[in-house]
Formats: sequence, C-alpha cells, structure tokens
Amino acid sequence: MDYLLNAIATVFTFEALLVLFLGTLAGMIIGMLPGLSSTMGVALCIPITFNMPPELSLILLGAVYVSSVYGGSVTAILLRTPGTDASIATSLDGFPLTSSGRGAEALGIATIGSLFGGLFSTLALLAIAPLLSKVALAFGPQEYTLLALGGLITVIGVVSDIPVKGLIAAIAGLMLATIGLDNFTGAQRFLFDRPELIDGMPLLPVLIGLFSVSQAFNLCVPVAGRVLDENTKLRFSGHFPYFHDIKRCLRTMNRSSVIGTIVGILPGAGTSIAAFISYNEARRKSKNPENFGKGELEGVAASEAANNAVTGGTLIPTLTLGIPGNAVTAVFVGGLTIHGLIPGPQLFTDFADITYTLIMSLFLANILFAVLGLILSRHLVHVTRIPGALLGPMILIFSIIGTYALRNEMFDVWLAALFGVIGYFMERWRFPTAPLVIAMVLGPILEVNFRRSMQISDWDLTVFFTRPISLALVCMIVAAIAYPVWRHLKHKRALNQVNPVN
Amino acid sequence: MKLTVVDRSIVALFISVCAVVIAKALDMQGDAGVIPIFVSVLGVITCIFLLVSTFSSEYSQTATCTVNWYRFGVLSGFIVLLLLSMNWLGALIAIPLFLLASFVLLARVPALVAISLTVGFTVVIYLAFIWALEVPLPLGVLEPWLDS
Repeated sequence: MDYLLNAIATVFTFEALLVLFLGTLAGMIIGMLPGLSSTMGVALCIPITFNMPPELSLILLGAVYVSSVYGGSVTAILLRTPGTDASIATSLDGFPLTSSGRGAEALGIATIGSLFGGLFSTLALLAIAPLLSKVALAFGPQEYTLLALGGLITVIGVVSDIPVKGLIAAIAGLMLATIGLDNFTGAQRFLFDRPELIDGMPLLPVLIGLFSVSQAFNLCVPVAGRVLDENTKLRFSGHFPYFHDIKRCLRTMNRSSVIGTIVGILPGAGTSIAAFISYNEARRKSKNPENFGKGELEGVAASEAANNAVTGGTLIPTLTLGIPGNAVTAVFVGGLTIHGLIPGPQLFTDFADITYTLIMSLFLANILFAVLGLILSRHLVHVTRIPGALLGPMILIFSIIGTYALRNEMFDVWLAALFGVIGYFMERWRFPTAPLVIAMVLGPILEVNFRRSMQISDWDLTVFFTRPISLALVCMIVAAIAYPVWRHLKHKRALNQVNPVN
Repeated sequence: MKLTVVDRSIVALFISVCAVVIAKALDMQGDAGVIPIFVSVLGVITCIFLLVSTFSSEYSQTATCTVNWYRFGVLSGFIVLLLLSMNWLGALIAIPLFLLASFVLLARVPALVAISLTVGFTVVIYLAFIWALEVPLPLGVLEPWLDS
C-alpha cells in the first residue's frame, strides 16, 4: 500500500504529468500515422529517455505504448489503414461505419472500448500479475502450437465470406513464414539469393503494403475515390455513441477485456489474436451477427477493448518474469535495462517504487488518451472529406518512409509496394488479407512449437491430447470449427423446411 | 474479367507455386522441409476445393470489381519511378515530384493548389522524419548541403 501511495505521489508531480501528456499525445500520433507502429514509437523514445530519471522514462514509454495502440484505431476506422495488425479487426466494422457517415460514433465507441480494456488490464496487472504469470508458465510447446492453430482458424472464420479463399490466403502467409534460415537445422529456405531474407520475410513491410499501400491504390485508382461514400454526410450528431449503444456494448467490452488480458499474458499471442478472438466471440454472442463486417458498433468495441487490454496483459510476464509477450514489450525490456532495471520478480520488491509508478501512470495514460481521443475525434473525422487522390499519395509517402525507417533498406520499400499491389487485387478478387498477415505472425510460433513437440514426443501426435491444458485447447479448436458448421447446417435445414423446393 | 476466370487462374498459379515449394522442400536437410511440404499439400487440396466451387451456378453469379487500368498503371508507374529515383535523386526531391505528379494527373487539382500541398507536405516530412526522428532517408544530390 505504501508503494502505491508513493507511486501516486510521484505520478502527480508536474514533470511526471508533463511527460505523461507528451508521451500520450506522441503515442496517439504515432499510432495514427500509417506505417508507424507501437514498437517503432517505443523504440524511438528510448534514446530520449537516456538522460531521464527511471520513473519518468517508464512513464514516457508506458504512455507511448498504450496510446499508440489506441491511435491505430483512428486511421483504421477513418481510412481503413491500420498502422499495426492490432487494429485490423477494428477496421472490419469501423471503416464501413465511416463509409456510411458514422465515423464519429465509431471513434467514440473505439475510445470507450479502448479505455475500458486498458483500465481493466492495468487493474489486472496491479492485482493478479504473479498468479497469472504462473498459468502462462505452465504452457509448453504443445499448448503454443494449439494456441497458434486456434488463432489462425478463428481468423479464417471471422474475415472470410468465402472461407476457402481465407484458407488460401492463410496458406500463402504460412508459406511466406517459412522463408529464411531454419531455426532448428540452419537450412536456407527460399531465400532467392537475397541476404535481406535470411531472418525471414520482414513482417512490417508486408503489413504496411497489404493495408496501407493497398489503401492508397483504393483511394487513387477510382476516378472519384474517397474514404466517404458518395452522397453520405458525416453525422456529427452521433459524435458520442448513444447511451443505449454503450450499454449494449458493455457486456462485449467486459468479455473482450478479459480475453485481451489473458491473451496478452501468453507470450507471442499478441494484440491481433486477442482482437480477432474477441471480435469472433462478439459476433457469436450477438443478436445481430449478420451486421458484423458491415458496420456494427459492437465489433469495434470488441476489437478495441481487447487490443488495449493486451497492453496491460503483455506487461504481466514482461515485468514479473522478464518474458516479453510481443515486439513492443521486447523493446520495453530494452528500455528498462538501460536504467539498470532487470525485469523479474525483483521489480516488485527492490524497485517496487518505480514499478508501481509505471502501473499508476498506465491508469492515467489510459484516461488521458480517452479524453484526448474524444476531443480530437470531432476534428479527425474531417480527414474523410479529403478526396482520395489527394489523400492516397500522402498515405503512400508515409508508408514508404515508415517502411524505410524500419531497417533503412530499400528492399523493404519495394516489398511494401509489391504487397500493396497484391493487397489491392486480393480485395478486388475477394481474398481476405488479414489471414495472410496473421499466418505470417503465427507461422513461426506454430512451426517452432510443433517441431519442438514432435522432437520431445518422437513424432507421436497423441502428445497434444495427454496434457490437460492442451486437451482443453483441442476441445476449444474443435468447438470453434464445429459450431459454425452446425449453425450453418441448422440454418440450411430450417430454410429447406420453409421452402422444400430449394 | 469474370471472377471465375480470375479464381481459376489463381488456382493454377498457386498449385504451381506449391509444386515448386514441395520439390525444393524435399531436398532440405533434416526436418526443415516438413512444414513447407505440409502447408503446400494443404494448399493444393484447398485450391482443388476452390476450383470445384467455381463451377457452381451460385459462384458464377458473384459480382466482380472493375479496375481503372489506366489510373492503376499511372500510379504504379509513379511509384516505380519514385522508388528508383529515391537513392540517386534523394528523397527530398523524389517525394515532391511524385506528389506533384500525382496531385496534378490523378487528383486533377489546379497547379497552384498542387504546388502548395506538395511544398507543405514535404516540409512536414522533413521536420517529422529527418529533423525530429532522424530517419536517415537517402539525400541523393542534396547530401553535400543537408548532411552538414
């Protein structure tokens, strides 16, 4: 309790509040800019923290992290250009809402959802960090294999109106994930004599290409291309979502916050999986599942609550065990070690003052980005009025510079341009792009853990059914596949009974 | 082009890629080729499913999106020129040229508006990425002046 009181006192000093405000604003802008990710934002801030006291450094890094995840939702909703894979699920319903003139409402519910998820996971970080970390420790290679497989299946089911095409996109992603040096044997796989591919196909250029560059094509190629549909007007009266809408989304936000926090604790799972699992659950439990993908507020709330809940969740194993849950927290660990703070249990004992200051600042950062988001969204929504052929080249330049800044490689920029064209035609020909990207993220996790499981069990596949957690995950995957099939068959049978001719 | 024709062409292309992957993966040392082979076999099976479904009457009625090939070609050409010229001409010259050409030819805005937007956006890019974030963008012919 003393630690908490000290932390509150530290956070409410002028310097801390100023750093918090600047960090939150910078994070939001970084998240909004297509091509700049949370990882890049946190990484860019680390050199700034060199000469700062550790408390202020962590406040800055924490604020940039949580607000950049929220910031990504703004461009995902208004322009359908999510800066990171965390906001892909948000764009599924956010952009259709914008296209129908309800962008402000979508931004409002995204802000409330993000705030809800962020506060929930920070509370979880504060209250149950050590306990949940123990659960994550019980996960072995079998569980990670099944978790990755489950995430992939969920994504294919969620985003594809023609599931076979979703599966083909996912297979293409898995193929791309096999490029590079094999971790187990050192074999060179599909390098095409390009040394840039030794570490594997770089994810961010592909992501930026498929989602940002392709969107630039979407805006520029049609003669009258624009974000907003023709003849639709922005509905400022719906700036804040109506109370009944928030009430309707409350249960979804609760569920998504729990899912996001749990997924965040599991290293490697990441924000996108949490967002897609929550989105799928929201659709499954919704009274209007047919509205999902066409502009449903619940879909935006589910995705945003989950991806912001991941921020607190990923910090649980990062701070208590030193195991970063994703790329951002890996960079975060780098930021901690610069100041002599080695992630692990001693952060909660020897450096408890600093750690609890970070946690308290996360609470404030969540509230601050929500306030700033609600104020700024009224103005940001005007972006949708800009003609596509003006906006498209600007998005393209941001994407190109953002891609170049990752490794200072023109190869990455060419890759982003190539995947921009691929993404543009995938959309035209109704191949979903999300399964490809998610498969690229999950592919290495799936392969490494599957091969590790097989090495342990000497290629005995029953190893996936002998451990209680893996057996439970198998049951969940079977249910995730069987339930939609059963519902489809039931729907078809009902239709046949009504109209026997069909 | 009809969606069925597009899908059948993609199926043919994807099966060819899968066949090449399988052939290459069979020569890999240890179990390095297991996952590529497994994924490719799954890919072939899925492609066959898609191919079969393209013959259904319901599928042939699926609407396809049209592409304005002229504007697509112009934009793609501009991007290729931008990327080719970024190294030797420098980002701060190549980017404004790309923006100006895009605004004039694709957005069809008056020249004065296009020039103002280009200059404004280039200044933002310079301040945000080169000055504040110190992204080492290729400076090309401007290097002797800007490097110092």
